[in-house]
Amino acid sequence: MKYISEFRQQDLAKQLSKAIAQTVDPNRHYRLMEFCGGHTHAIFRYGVQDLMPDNVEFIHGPGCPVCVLPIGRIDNAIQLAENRDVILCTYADLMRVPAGARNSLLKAKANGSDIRMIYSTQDALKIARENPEKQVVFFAIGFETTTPPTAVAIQQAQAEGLANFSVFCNHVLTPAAMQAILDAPQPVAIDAFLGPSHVSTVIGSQPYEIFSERYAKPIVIAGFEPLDVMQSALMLIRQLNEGRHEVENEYSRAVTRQGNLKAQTLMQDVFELRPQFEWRGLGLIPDSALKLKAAYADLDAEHRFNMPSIQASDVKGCECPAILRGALKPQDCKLLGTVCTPENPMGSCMVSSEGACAAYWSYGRVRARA
Amino acid sequence: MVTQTIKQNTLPPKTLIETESMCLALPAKIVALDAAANMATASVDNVKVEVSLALVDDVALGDYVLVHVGYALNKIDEDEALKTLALFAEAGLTSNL
Ligand code: SF4
Repeated sequence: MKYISEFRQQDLAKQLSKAIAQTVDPNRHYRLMEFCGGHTHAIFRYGVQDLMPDNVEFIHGPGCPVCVLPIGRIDNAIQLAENRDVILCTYADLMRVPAGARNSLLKAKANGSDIRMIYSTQDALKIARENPEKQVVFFAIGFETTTPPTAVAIQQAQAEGLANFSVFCNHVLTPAAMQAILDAPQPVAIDAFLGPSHVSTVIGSQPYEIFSERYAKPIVIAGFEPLDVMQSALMLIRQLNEGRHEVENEYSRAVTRQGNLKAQTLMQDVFELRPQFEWRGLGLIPDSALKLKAAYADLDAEHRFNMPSIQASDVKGCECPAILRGALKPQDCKLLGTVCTPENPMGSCMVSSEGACAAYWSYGRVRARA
Repeated sequence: MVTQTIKQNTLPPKTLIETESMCLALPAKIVALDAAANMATASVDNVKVEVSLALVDDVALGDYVLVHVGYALNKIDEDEALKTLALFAEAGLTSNL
């Protein structure tokens, strides 16, 4: 598999592991936050931590879109779906996320709501065309990677005059979350960041420059394969050793400084900033999420339907909020693996394969047994 | 050439596509184009997927693109990929000094 297996070669992994061991200063501790859930997943799946010296620690960040969506928004979606005239379309990852009152989209579906799992926003449009008598709502979530596909669907629906289609928009922005982590009242100690892979293919590496300058933190945009993660860690360690703090790009095969301008233009045409948005674990963050512009208000589900703001709290004992800030690790949660498993998740971090708890529970156990 | 890849911690088998969640993207080769619909067929690990080309320009047969939720997000730059692979090898060399 081109561009996959080359970036998983075992001999190179061993070499990189040796190079890292020789580069680290044994007298210091390196705390590298991987922002993206995709990196968290790769680190656990390939046992990357085992190939690192003991004084290099990965801190798992908030970059799992399913994990940071506040429960109240899922409750909103469930309420919508309970309306007999509505077909709710969503990415599969969201189906099992625990909502309020022990509910979930999956349970709502079992109880008769018409909820469809889709792979692409094109599928949602298709469902809308085929069901003109129903209201088809796309429950849109995700960072800057899933946002342009939503924008494409919105423009297409408007061009086609697809009157029964609308979008419940929950798209959030990566740089705003990075800012929130750095500005937290009790910030978690982080020395450097592994920057997102695919988000950066869209937004480019330029938006991170302000963070490396203002907060003096090295940032390396890192690919998702295990060798990418290791090489990026090495680049961060070198920067820290040399007292540099720059944005470097390890994932140059897909990321440029400017990013994908076509996708950015589309997003700017369709969306505008919300003054603030709630993130699970991080609280209210200003200018951190998008909503549809007035020109597309007809296609905005929040405009079309009555959607109250719902406050809901996590299951007691679930440490997801602290885990998403990097303040705790999955193994610090008492419910991990006993009450809370991927089959029966108590919190959002256990649902998505990108969530830190799911990655730890699924792959960490394999490692413990080996 | 057979290269040995790094050992994966495995879960019950699923296809490559199923294992990846919505926020991952995979490098896929363009094997058919439908210019009129601005769509293409891309192949990952011999699994064929339909992808929209709405977010990219100038995609040709044989190009590799990052496929994400049914859309090509970006083309993959072969020269840059080779440079990165060379960097990995270099890191190994300096460690032998
Ligand atoms: S293990 Fe489950 S309950 Fe504990 S923090 Fe993770 S998701 Fe929440």
